Amino acid sequence: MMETDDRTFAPEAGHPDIQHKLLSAFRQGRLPHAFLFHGPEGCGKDAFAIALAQLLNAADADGRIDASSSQYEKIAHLQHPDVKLVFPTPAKTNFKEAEFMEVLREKARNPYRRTAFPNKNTFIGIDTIRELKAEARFTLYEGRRKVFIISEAEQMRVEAANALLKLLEEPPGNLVLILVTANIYQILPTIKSRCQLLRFTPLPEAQMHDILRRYHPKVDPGELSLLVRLSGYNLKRAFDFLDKNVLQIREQAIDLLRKVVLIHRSQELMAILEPVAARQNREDAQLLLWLLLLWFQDILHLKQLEDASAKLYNPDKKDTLRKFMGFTPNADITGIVWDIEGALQDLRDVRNFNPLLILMTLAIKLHQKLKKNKK
Amino acid sequence: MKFSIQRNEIYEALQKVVSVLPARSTIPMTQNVLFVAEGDQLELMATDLEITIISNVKAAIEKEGSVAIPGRLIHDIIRELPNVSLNFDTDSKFRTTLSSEFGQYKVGGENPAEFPRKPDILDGREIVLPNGVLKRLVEKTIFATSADELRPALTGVFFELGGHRIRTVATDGHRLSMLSYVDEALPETDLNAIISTKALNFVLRSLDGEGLTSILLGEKHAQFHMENTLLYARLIEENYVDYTRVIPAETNFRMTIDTNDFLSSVKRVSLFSSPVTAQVILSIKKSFVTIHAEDVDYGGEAREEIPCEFNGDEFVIGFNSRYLQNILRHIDSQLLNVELIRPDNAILLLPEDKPENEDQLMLLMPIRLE
Repeated sequence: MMETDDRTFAPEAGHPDIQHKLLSAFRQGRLPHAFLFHGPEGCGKDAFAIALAQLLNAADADGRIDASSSQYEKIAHLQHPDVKLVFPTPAKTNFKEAEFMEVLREKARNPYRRTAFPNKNTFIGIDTIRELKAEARFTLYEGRRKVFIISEAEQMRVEAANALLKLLEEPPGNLVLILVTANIYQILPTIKSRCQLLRFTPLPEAQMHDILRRYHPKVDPGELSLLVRLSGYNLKRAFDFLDKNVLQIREQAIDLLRKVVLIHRSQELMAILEPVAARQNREDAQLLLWLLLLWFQDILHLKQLEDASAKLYNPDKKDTLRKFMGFTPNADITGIVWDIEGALQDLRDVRNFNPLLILMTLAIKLHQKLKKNKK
Repeated sequence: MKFSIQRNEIYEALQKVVSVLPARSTIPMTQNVLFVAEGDQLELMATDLEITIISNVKAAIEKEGSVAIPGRLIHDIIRELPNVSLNFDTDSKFRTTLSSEFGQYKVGGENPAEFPRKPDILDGREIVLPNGVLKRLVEKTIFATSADELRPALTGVFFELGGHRIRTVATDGHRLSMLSYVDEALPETDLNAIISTKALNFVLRSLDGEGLTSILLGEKHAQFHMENTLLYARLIEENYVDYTRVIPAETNFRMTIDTNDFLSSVKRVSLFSSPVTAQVILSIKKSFVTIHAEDVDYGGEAREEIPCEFNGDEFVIGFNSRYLQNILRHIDSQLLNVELIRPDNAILLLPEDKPENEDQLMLLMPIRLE
């Protein structure tokens, strides 16, 4: 008889319910050969995949991981010959080997981080998948199970995804494939149907806080809590925020809103938006819109809930939010939220729309919707 | 770790191992060479995870230890130095100082515990082969391997041991090449392994004419032991195809021909074949064979006749000339026997004379003629 198993194999990786499932499957020797980890961005899926690789290579039959073993260490530092992590990169001609190594090293240091190549289009090409297939031919080097982790699997080009199919269909017995994606709807159905799907949900606030502190012990706890909220409970974004002065950008966003309400002449709007749009990378514009989005979502919360404090993304700005609401009593907030989300989509669009135009259009829409008069 | 060594000695050992360092890798550690100082030996190890090379050299060791150092950097600095005494000193943070009479060079090393483990071959079986035999076993088959990633087993050379015989086989589905060598000292029990072409090319390069090479075949790795150097090749984990099924037991006809004449003729004639099909047609008669190629699109055509002995009346068969040339190039015998069944069956190419204890067989699929 199976006893109920409520142990976890890697407490710090979170998602205990998924850990229970995997652990009991592991102890019965019934782990599937291919997983698709999906769920919102920044809930620790990559780190969880690495922990699963450790379970497969550094644990006893009962699923107890030996954290002092060299196998464990090697996997943690992405130095294990049988464990491969691949992620989207720019085209081969478009980046240097050193740049790639730097990103890989950063990911090994902190698996919760984004693997970012600033201002470059990234994807998982067929070459990357071919390398995995070439590797899959061989016997194990020193571990017990080969683990290939494909991070941001939705970024696989179609031909790369098709090349992967064969491996998914007839994987060598010693191989476990883990595909990780924040956007399961972009995964080809042929791939989805060959994987065991595991859905991840955002980590609890306290655990996110702990993880951030693990890598940034010196940052003020109050500021970390605020960052967790402002990131929308997305760890990747929270780590990005630690590199940028996000609070200052938020002030900019609020300032911008004030002007959008007050200004009537489009030239003046242009003058404010141009510097934001002119910056080389679209991330700044996206960040600005993201903060605006949270702002209006907070307003929705305040309007609809008796006590919204626990839900607010900007808990420190409650008074400003209320003032803003008083100033624009008839604003069409839901419409505004839709507009901002639309603009965010456009900024991410591969067709490369002009950011200034996107921001201008949005500003004009916001102006109308904020100033809406009483009937 | 602390030791000193003459530049030429360490450079020779280092050269052998850096050749495997991968250009790019998803495992950063493989950019390093592992230095292990123990007893009076310095061991250098580098790997691209497919091939691992270990080279040993004597050194004056003051303090035992190990460190992983960026391979190309240490190779390049030592290359630029004349033959002077070099001192290596590694601190507890794996920072390594190389000093000579010219000055000091410091390089950040990595924790050797995170370097890929030295392949351990537990219950391996050892076989010893003369270098010449090993070279032929590999050279005469490796060209016929497949590049098709969908059939991983065929991308390597199959080593089959048993009954005091070693046999290497390679095929890509269109041709097959096989060489056997019999020696009483070889094991009687069965043992198989598929070794990748990349590893075998490394072995070929390091084989000197004379001497013996010992091969240790394990579950996961094959180890080739050459002078001062150990090469580990990771095995391809697949079942090899049952190649014996495609080799016909009986044939109807036999043509005997001079190998060199045949090859030169095919080379000349195939220049005029269609670049798409590369087709050459052999029309075999009692005492001569006509080799014919034609490129209909551009009007090129060539025809040659060379003498042969044939025990049938007339036989017409077509081949891809690239495959045919490739096979003929790997036959050393002056006279060649070609065994035929029907124009749409595979042919066998068997050398007339071969080295003692060796047996060679090549198989080629024909092109169906309109």
